Amino acid sequence: MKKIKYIFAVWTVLAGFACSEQVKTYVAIDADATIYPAYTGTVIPCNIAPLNFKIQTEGSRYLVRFVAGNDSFAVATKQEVQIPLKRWRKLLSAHSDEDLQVKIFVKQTNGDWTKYRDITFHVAPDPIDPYLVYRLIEPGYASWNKMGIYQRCLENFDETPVLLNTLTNENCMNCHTFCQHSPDKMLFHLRGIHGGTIFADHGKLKKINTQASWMVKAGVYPRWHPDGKYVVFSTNNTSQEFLAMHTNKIEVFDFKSDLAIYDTEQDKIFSYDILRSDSSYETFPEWSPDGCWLYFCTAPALDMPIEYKDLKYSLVRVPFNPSDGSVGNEVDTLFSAEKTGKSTSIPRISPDGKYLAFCLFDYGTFPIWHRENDLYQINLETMETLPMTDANSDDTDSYHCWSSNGRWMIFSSRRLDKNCTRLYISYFDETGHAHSPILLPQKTSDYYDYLMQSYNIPELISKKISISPYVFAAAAKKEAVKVKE
Amino acid sequence: MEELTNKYSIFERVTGIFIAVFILLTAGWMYFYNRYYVIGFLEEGQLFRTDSYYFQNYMAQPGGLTRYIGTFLTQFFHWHWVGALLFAAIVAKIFYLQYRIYRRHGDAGVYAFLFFAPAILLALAAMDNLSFRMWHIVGLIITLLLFWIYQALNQKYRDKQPQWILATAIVALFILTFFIAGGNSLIFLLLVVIEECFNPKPSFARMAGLLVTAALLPYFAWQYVYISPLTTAFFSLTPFSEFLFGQNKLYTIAWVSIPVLYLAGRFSAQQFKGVRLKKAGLWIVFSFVLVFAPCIWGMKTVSVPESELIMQMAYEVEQGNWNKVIAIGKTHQGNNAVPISFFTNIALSEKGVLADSLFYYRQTGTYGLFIAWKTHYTTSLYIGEQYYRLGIIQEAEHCAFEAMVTSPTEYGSKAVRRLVETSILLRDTLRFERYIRMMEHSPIYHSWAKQQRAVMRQCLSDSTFVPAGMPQPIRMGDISVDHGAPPTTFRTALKNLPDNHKIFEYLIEFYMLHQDLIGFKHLMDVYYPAMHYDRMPASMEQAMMIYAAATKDNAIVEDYKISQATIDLFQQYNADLQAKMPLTAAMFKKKYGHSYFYYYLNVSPMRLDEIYNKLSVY
Repeated sequence: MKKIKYIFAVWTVLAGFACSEQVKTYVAIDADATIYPAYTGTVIPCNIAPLNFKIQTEGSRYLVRFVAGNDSFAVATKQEVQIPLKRWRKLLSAHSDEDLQVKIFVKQTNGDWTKYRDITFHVAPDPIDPYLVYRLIEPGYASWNKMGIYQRCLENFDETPVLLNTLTNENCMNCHTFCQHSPDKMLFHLRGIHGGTIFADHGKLKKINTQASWMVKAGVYPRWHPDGKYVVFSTNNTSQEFLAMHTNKIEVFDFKSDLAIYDTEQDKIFSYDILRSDSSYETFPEWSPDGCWLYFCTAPALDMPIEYKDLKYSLVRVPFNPSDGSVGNEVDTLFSAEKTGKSTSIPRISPDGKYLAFCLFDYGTFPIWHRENDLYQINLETMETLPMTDANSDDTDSYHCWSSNGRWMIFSSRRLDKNCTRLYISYFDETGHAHSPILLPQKTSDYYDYLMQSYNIPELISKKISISPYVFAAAAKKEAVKVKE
Repeated sequence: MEELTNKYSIFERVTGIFIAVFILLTAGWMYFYNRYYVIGFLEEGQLFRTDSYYFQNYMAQPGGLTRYIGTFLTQFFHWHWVGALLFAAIVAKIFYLQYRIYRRHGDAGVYAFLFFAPAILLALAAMDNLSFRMWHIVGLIITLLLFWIYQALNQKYRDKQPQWILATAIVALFILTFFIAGGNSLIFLLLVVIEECFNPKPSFARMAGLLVTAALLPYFAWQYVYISPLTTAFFSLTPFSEFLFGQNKLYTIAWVSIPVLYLAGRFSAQQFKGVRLKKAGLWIVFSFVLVFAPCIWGMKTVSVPESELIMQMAYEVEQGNWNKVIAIGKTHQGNNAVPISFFTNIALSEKGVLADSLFYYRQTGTYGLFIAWKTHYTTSLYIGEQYYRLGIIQEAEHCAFEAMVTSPTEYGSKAVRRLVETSILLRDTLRFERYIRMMEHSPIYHSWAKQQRAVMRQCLSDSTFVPAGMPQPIRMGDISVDHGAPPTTFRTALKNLPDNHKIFEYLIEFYMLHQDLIGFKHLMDVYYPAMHYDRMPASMEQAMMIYAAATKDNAIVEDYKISQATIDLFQQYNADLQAKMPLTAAMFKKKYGHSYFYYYLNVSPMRLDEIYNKLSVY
């Protein structure tokens, strides 16, 4: 008994020391504390995981206070600020649509405290979809080793594999896409050994070979029609060149590309002349939220790779009739490469149909290796095109995805280290303004320092994928059923 | 039957000597015959780090802790002699543990030498397949240690009540073995079953409990702990999961022999209990021969001297020891000539004598000049080395990155070192930070990383500074690199840098090795005048002579100022070719083998399929 009391006393004293860090007096200075990641005041989702960070400003101890309304909590630390999840959630949920202030106090070696400028976030009342799916792969140029598709809960730090290529003989997997942000209906591609496209429909899996006789390769860049009946693919003959001096390092381009539509009910793939032409490249398709338009990027066919710097894609659309799968005969150009001298890629339309986000860069097919690539938006009502200035950086910002409520965008960017793509979350308000993004938070601030892999194809989904990786792997190893033509 | 006597004390003393000899023999063999091909290769293909992410990455795999320990030990292979000794000592430990395990039941005596078999086989297995790693041996050691603990518990509590305590301990040890040593827990299971069978009062309940655990635990671990193939969950770190069937026979036999030998030993001891051994000295000599004769024979059989040479060349090239590289290239006579040619040619280029001396060294055609691209660890490294030495640093960085990604087990130290160097030369601070951070968390490379930080600081403060031992980066307009057609890349580079000797010589030698004299002549006409050589290199003179003779254009000799020595040699060559009593092939080769004349008429450049069929390290 005496021993227990002694231990209890020791713990109490220790706990007291831990909590007793208090700032009674301090000197406030009009400067920012150096933190990593370098969060600046912006809009954050009310259900986002804690924005843990590290304080790099010199000091012996630190105190960080999180204040929203009349509520607050503090974290005392030596450097790494690990925000308690429950307290964070409670604070954000109680104060959505309000400001959250992060107050940083630094204890100097002489014992004095210095308070730095507050970081003010605005907690948006609009939640972000709770799950995010992406592929992790080294940004290798030609080769890969281990890779996987993962799902991450944005409300905490849980990341679990959807499928790992160690389960499928180390093949390549990608192009995961979800119908209306729901994992109930999803698909992804496998390349190399066990090649094919895996469709999952409410737990039922099938593996399809989407390559019709006229297609150069199996379908890629899939997009689900909102009604879930159709999937549009691009079929591409892609190559890449390694640049010995250019800062872009790699140029990835198509020699040929066309679009094909897959009818999931009839198990049939088809296309139209307007979507497949030898004199032009058609790629990166996207549906409008009402399913009545098919958007895509198109460029005149050139002598590739010699003329790769002249390859510039326009952004166009054609009407689509969901009842019979037909498309219109006329192409409506939303963004002309010829007029602007720029190339477009990856059109994505907000769920309310009002805005189209896309990549804009100097030339070429693939934006991810173009440092000048930026995100742009088109107001589909006024047809005004604007850069997402606050969201963009001086490095490539690409592969963007809307949340199901249209208020959030998540995209890939190389801005952190110019090498590996990391994911950023930007608030898109009702006025059509994309706010400064935050880096996808991780449990420890140095997580990205040791992660040698890039994030590809971020897709927000409304709930967790419940199919086990082993079930996906078993489906992957089956023979792919050829589509009808 | 003649009675045999266990002279217990004699065998005790001798076992220590056996172990010492085994360690010295294995370490010596490793160091003198395999230090680059095995020791160096294992170390370069991994980078042990102390950060938590590295540890977590291993722990997420079945047998992760054993792999982590194995990688920890492998880092010391950085010093080849340490690696050789460590390897030998660890393999010897397998014998020692088996011996001690067997000794619990009495003197191992005459059977002791049999337990060397797995140790010898494991030592040889390191060369049977380059995917063999230290963790394969460490896993067996951990398993044997845990079995040894089981034996101690069994002996102490076998006859005590309640029995469920011992049963629980056995299951707990199995679970521990599984989560530490992966599929090697099967060996634990087999050894326990053997032990129980030879118990005076075997417990079938204990065996049954253990068998059920052995069947279910990997399955549940597969479902709820790991994400891995089912075979990996059951058999990780064993030959049945790590290698495709038949890919590492020696490791398979070694693994299986452990329980088999134990069973045989226990059975024999039971049958021949209390026998007395006469002439123990003779048995010792016999055992010595029985252990070390096959050991030496095995070492000689599995050794691949050519691969050791190639890996030594790769090492010396990285260190910039050109004379050593050239010396090896000079004497090599084996089949695997392409990488030998490749490295020799790099060294010749670095010494500025490629065009003069190319044909003094064995040439296999253009693939000995430009390795055919494969997204493969060693190929990427080798090709990257060429670009690095030429100063095309961005491409060297690309190749090193591909090598890092395709490294068989994890990011390797050799690839990461090169990435640090290229980021320094490119003054790319963000990439530098990424890679140097990895090195800073490596106990072996920590101080090297510190030095590189100082080098980077110097580079950033002086844009013209080139660190010692590193190449001068070349500056030119942007070009694209075509790994499928290196001459295209070099042609484009030469257009940008028409006075770059190294690129010019590589390209001119390409045409010569390809026996394309029209291409050769064109290149000479366009670029040679701007090269400002003091005199035309020998191989170029010889190729020009052949071209002049073939086109009957004597003006070329005058225009290019071909030396009298080359003219004389050509005339002599022709005379010997047409002589009524020609030289034998061997004499002809001896007299002219170092010239392009000989190559042009007598050598068939190797085809790619030939190269892939012949190569063991490519």
